[in-house]
Amino acid sequence: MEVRDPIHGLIEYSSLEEQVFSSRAVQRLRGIHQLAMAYLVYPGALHTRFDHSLGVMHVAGEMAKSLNSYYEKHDDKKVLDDEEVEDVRLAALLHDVGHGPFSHVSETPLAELSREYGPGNKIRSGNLHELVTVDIITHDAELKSILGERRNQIAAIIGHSARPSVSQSIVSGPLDADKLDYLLRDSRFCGVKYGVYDLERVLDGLRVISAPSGDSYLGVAEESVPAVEQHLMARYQMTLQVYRHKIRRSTDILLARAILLAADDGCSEIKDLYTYGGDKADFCARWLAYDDRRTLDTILSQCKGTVAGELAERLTERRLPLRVCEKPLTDVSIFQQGKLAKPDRRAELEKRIAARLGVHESLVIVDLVQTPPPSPSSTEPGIDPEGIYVQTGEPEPTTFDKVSDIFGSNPLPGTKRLSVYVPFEASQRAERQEERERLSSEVSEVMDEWGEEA
Amino acid sequence: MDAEDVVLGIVNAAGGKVEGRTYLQKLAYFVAEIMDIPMGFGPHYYGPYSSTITAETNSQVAMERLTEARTGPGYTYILTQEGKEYLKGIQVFDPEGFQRVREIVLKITSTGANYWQLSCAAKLYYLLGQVGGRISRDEAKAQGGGLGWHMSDQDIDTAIEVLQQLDLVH
Repeated sequence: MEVRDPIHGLIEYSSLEEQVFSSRAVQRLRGIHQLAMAYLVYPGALHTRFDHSLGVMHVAGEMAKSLNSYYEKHDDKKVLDDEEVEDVRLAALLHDVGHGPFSHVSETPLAELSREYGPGNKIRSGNLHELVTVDIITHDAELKSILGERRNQIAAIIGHSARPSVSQSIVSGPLDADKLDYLLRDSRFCGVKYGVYDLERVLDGLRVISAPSGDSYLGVAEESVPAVEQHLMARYQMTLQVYRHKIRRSTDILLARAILLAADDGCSEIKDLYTYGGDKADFCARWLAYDDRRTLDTILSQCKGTVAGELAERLTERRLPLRVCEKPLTDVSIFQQGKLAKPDRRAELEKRIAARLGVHESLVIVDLVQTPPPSPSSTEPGIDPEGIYVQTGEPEPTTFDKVSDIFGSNPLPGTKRLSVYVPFEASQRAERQEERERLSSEVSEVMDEWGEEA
Repeated sequence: MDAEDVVLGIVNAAGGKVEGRTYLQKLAYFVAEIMDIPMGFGPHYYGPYSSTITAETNSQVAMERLTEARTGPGYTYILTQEGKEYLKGIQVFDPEGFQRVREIVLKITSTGANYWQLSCAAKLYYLLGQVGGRISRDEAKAQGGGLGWHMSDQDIDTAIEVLQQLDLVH
């Protein structure tokens, strides 16, 4: 059986995979946009976690196939047997079921609202959706009945609770199926070319690297280093140009604020949705009932007349804030850098700017964006989970920076940049430039005054 | 405290220099655990590992607040003059937090444990956290084995000694 995909062409699937992607948990992903509200700047960015998940399943299968083909030819044995390949594909298919509405936007409210569960339930923002994914796979009744006990193996691959392995590296690692799919997919649907790279060449060069511990990881052959360089540059450019785009950043922040404010204002549906903890089956059932549309509609209908409601309306109507300041963090004094590095001090600056402009503080954003360097981190000998390892003719694998001309001795550094956004209401073209300049000037004054204060 | 505070606070508390990524990771692990700061530590070959700490360290190097110098097979992290000035600025926002980091790092460095010994201690402490605070030697070996940590009796003895010196086990 097969389905058409705009990135990979025909994607084949088994009847078990069909049962899994037909489940409520996976079908829900049709209602969660891969890039949240990035469609407000890239109108074609309407692709969802659902088609991405099918793509990751396909790429994971191709990675396994490529490895098996190489090692059967050279060592007369497969890397992954048929059942392991099936597990990897299922893990890839399910890897994003834990995503909340608007994808990564939900991480912040979930972490904030779940803190009350205390140190024994260590909630960490950033990869919360993985935790929730494991919970859904383990506790959702429908997935339980489809997968049986096998769901535990699949959850272990996603949740990194088993020993490191090639299967795990395929689903989650520096060169995993997730990254290999989303770069191409996001690039296509946003209508840009930054994310395009030679997937086939990367797949063809995959190798198994053994750690001193006896665990195995995914690495690459030396001859595929140029293809991996191209992939890493694609990732870097997509980060700079798309994932960190000013409108994407500002809409993500306003969405997260709308959710938090809605919970704070007493919207019990939103508060209950974003409170992780307690009975896991109950939490999963609540989580799976919401997607992008339902969450936004809940805020719009239940928070009318509140700031949460206003933020939701502005987003829906594309009345977006204007970026009036943008610079590298190193352009301000070290003293100011220290202040700006702290979220509560940035919130204080937001209040000051809001007071000067006569607007609500939730509509002002002081944002610090970190862009990681394009190269994987170089490391000490041994295996670093962030590193991409290269198999040369030597007995020991080498790290990527040692064989890459582009990411070798003078790699591009990561950056931190400061941006300030304020509400912008000028509708007439003639007024826009004047209003823009006025806002920019007011904000600069406030920042200068604030920056000098202890 | 956030990752930036932890990384810079640790290097500063260690006398302005930390030798080895693994050692830095393990210092950060104990600081994060003792102060209950979520840093996303998960199991890896050398013990609990945090990609947040790695990313922040790289960021501080890129911002020239730390230098990363190759020393033999590994790397040494040194607080630069700019890093020291920056740290003075951010310490005022959480003086108690930075003081606590200092106390923890000094306690760890006073044990004299090298990166391997600290890794053993971190692995055992991680396993203890997973099982609710009580574990036998055989259970530690079995649980650790499941995570790819092949801990010998000597490794476990080393770990216990370090953790006892840190008052984390009895």
